Amino acid sequence: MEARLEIKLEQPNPLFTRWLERWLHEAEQRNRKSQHKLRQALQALRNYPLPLYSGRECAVLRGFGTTLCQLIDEELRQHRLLASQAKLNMSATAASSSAEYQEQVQQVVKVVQRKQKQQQLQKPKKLTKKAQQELAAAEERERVVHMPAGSYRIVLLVDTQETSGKNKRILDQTRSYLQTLNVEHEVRRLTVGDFLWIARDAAGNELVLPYIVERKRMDDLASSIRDGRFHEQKHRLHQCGLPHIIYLIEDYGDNEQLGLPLESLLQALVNSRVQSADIQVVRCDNHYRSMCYLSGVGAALQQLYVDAAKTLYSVDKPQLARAQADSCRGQEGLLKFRSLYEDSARNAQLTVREVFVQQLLQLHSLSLDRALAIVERYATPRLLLDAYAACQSETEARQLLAGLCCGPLQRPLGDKLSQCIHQFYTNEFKAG
Amino acid sequence: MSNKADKLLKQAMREQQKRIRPGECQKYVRLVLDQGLLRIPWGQELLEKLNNTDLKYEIRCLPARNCIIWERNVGQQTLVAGVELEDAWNMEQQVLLVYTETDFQRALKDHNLSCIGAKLHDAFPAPNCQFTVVVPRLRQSKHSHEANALIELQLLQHLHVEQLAQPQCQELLSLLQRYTKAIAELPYKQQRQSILGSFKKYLANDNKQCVRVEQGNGYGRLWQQHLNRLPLVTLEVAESIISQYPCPKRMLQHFEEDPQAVQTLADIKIKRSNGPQPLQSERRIGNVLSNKLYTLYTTRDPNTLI
Repeated sequence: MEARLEIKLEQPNPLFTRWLERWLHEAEQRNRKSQHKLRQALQALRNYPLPLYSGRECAVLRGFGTTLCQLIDEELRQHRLLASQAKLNMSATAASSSAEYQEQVQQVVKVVQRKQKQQQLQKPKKLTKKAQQELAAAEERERVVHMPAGSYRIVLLVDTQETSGKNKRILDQTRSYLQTLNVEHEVRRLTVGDFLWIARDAAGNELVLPYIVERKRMDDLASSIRDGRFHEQKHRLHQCGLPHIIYLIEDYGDNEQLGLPLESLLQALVNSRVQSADIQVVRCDNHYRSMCYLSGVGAALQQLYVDAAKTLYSVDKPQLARAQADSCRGQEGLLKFRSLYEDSARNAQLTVREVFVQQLLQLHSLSLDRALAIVERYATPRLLLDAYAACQSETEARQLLAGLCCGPLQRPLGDKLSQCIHQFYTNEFKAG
Repeated sequence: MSNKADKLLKQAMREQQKRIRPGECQKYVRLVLDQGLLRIPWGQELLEKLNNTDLKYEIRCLPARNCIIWERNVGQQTLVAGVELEDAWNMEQQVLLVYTETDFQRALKDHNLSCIGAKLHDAFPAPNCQFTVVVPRLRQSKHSHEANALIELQLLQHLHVEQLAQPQCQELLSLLQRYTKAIAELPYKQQRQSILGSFKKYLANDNKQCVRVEQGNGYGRLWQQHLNRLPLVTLEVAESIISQYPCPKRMLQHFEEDPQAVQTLADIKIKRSNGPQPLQSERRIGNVLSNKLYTLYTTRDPNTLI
């Protein structure tokens, strides 16, 4: 931003001023008549902002008659003589004074510029709408929410996609059962899990109670195990940070014709239970009983939190485990609903490393152990290609990965796979 | 490290791997039943059934009545009575507490269930123990006292609950078989989990889609599947990209040589095999995907998000 700088010299004519002061003083002492005019002239000189380079120039000012101007010029001449004799670079000479003046001006300019910059840094610039929104969102994320006992209600959140199959009828049925059971609930899009409980206060703040429910009918369970979704969902449930995961497993009629043997499903459930202390498995006969279960849990939570007059406060995910462990009787640290939502939405993005591993896995006989060993050494495709480029010979490049140790037994990757990968990235081939 | 030490280490690793491999691992795990279980109504029946299975078990006096625990033989040995070497068995984390019908009803009536958790923790003070209470299946009526009692066990005391249908004995046996298998395979699963857990997205083992590359054939298909790994890439999108860049080398070269490469890639039209003409905006690969591909193949930072 351009700024006009107005330079006002404190003392534009220090020399002349000094002389006049001297003469005035002398005149006052001797009580000369000239003191009046001198006083006037001094005043005028002090008020005059520009530098004057000779007595003659002073004539423009009030109180400077010809005599006075001549006096000044005479004094100036003598002064210069003295200066040249003393070989001192006095600011009396017009040329040097002008140069120095310029220098001084430059210095002042620099100081002003520096001050301006400082000011700009300190003064908040007017934000764009987007920036304002981002700032507001960040502030909201930072804000600690406090809910003293008695200030909140517990509400069950039902995922909008809570269905067995993409069937709205199931959602409606869920809702009607919950209504029959007098369970206070709300339908909302949940990025993870089918049911959650929140504590909500009058201001609309929402904290998530540390339980997340994934409801699965037996036939769902079977199909999700077969296509791998089951493990992925389990992984995401662990990632969300809530410490208590409840698998609500609902029988499907007689549990026959599920697509997998019932025993396999039951084994999968026990496996989940045994592998993770966070997971509980609850089995119910049918949809209605499942809702009864949720109602029962809601009532228990009501006891645990509201009746027990617990104070709730918000924490971040990294602090949650600690807060839960520390939770003494009166207080509990919980995640904000918004954070949970944003966090799991954000986790939908992959890192380059993850995509690279998944790409490597596409090659037959390249196991997870081997893929991980490769990525451990060359974490992105670019890094692998750099390594290939750095090889001295084609043979070296082909063998680059062969010696990598994979898995707990540290088996080498092997020539064949190493060559295959090398060819894939460096050869020209046709589609097909 | 000398070669000898190396060899021994490798041998130890192999041995360990063998012990935890699914299938083999069950040989190294055994049940330990509290002798109180002999005296329950179907206790003898249970033992008979156990004998008919491959499950190894022992009967002992455990710190809490009617409990069942598991132990694993990790290949170590202990000195017993100063004279003998015996296999060392380490206790596993899972502890079951079996309630008969009578016991359970009594406990409900006396409101004793609320102190089970504490009792169990006292009896088995090891820090990571996970307790499961095994009860007969309830007659499920709405809001029954029993149902709420079980919910309280879960939520307040963090105990797992398993409900056994009739016939209880057979059901318990099946349960024990499942638990034994799960416990036996636990170290193996944990090994895999420790690697996978660090990734945000679960790395699916969709082995069925793997591409076999033989004698130079199959690279094309492999390239297509590489592209499919990116979230926005559908089959049509992949095919359109491949029509310009039949192999990764071409794409990489283009990125390197041509500063406009990203734009060119973004402008590639998507060939739609059938259906009505889509909107103009959908027919391109697009800037977002193009940039993702560029990032994927040029970044040296593995934590870049795409």
